[in-house]
Amino acid sequence: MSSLNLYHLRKTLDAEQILICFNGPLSRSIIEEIGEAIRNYLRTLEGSENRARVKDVFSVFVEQTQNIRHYVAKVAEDAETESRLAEATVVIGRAGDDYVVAAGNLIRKSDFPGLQQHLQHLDGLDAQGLKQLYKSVLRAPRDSDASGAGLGLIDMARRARAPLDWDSVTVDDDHVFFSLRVTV
Amino acid sequence: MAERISLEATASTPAVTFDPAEGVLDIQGESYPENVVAFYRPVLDAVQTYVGEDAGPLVLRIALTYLNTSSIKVIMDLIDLAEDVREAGREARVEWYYEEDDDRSLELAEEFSEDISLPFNIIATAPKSA
Repeated sequence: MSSLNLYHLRKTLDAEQILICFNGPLSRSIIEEIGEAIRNYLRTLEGSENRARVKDVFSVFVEQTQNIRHYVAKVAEDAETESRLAEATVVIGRAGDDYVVAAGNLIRKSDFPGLQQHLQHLDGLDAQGLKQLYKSVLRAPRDSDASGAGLGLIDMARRARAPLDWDSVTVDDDHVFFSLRVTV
Repeated sequence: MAERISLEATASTPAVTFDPAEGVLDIQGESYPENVVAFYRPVLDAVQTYVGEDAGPLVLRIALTYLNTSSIKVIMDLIDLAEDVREAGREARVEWYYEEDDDRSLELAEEFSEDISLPFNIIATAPKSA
């Protein structure tokens, strides 16, 4: 980072209205600590009358980051892959009156089509459809004990004030950088 | 004999007590552990053993300020257990406590209560945290 100019970085963060930015290996304790910081910060910003808003931002942050952790636990076969895949970029910013919680991480190229299909399916559902899907997954048996409940993306779609927004950038022959932006 | 449970709260896990003598499971605080099943396994086991061996009531006393989706699924499992108890002709109910300005917690409780026949009491409390 010999040529990094902090002032320019700061100007970019300000211009994009970024409140919190994290780039590095996600761990359980980092999720807890950033989560707590977000809540404290937003409580001050939003005041006590806007508790649902603070909770929505916090929830989306937790679901996004825990999804990444569960993904790493599920697919990483060795320590090297694990540390590479656990690297995540998480940004919380403002967009007008809304907040955006964005998270990006490396995923295997072969996992992207299925993920995209799931997101497109969610995109086509209205509030009632999302609620029904949520309830049916809530009642379905778990895939495995170590993974999540498969409810994270549906929950984010239910809380979101705009359609979920995602993209992928090819990084190498086997991986893409997947990012998901959720507006709440 | 069902095990007595007493767990202290941490940043991402709630305080949990289960007293088989009274049939009351008390869960308070925040619940967003990464590995939810590992955290709740002993709790589910104790309640399951109690339900199978004892003839007493089952009361789920829940005062959670935040639950991740995996925790919501565990609560659903507990509610299903309580439904079984009730269908067997025993007393079972849920007491859901939420801070009165916490709309999301109220909505969650209402959704839980939609598809069940169990008595589900939703009780507002004074807000503790702003």
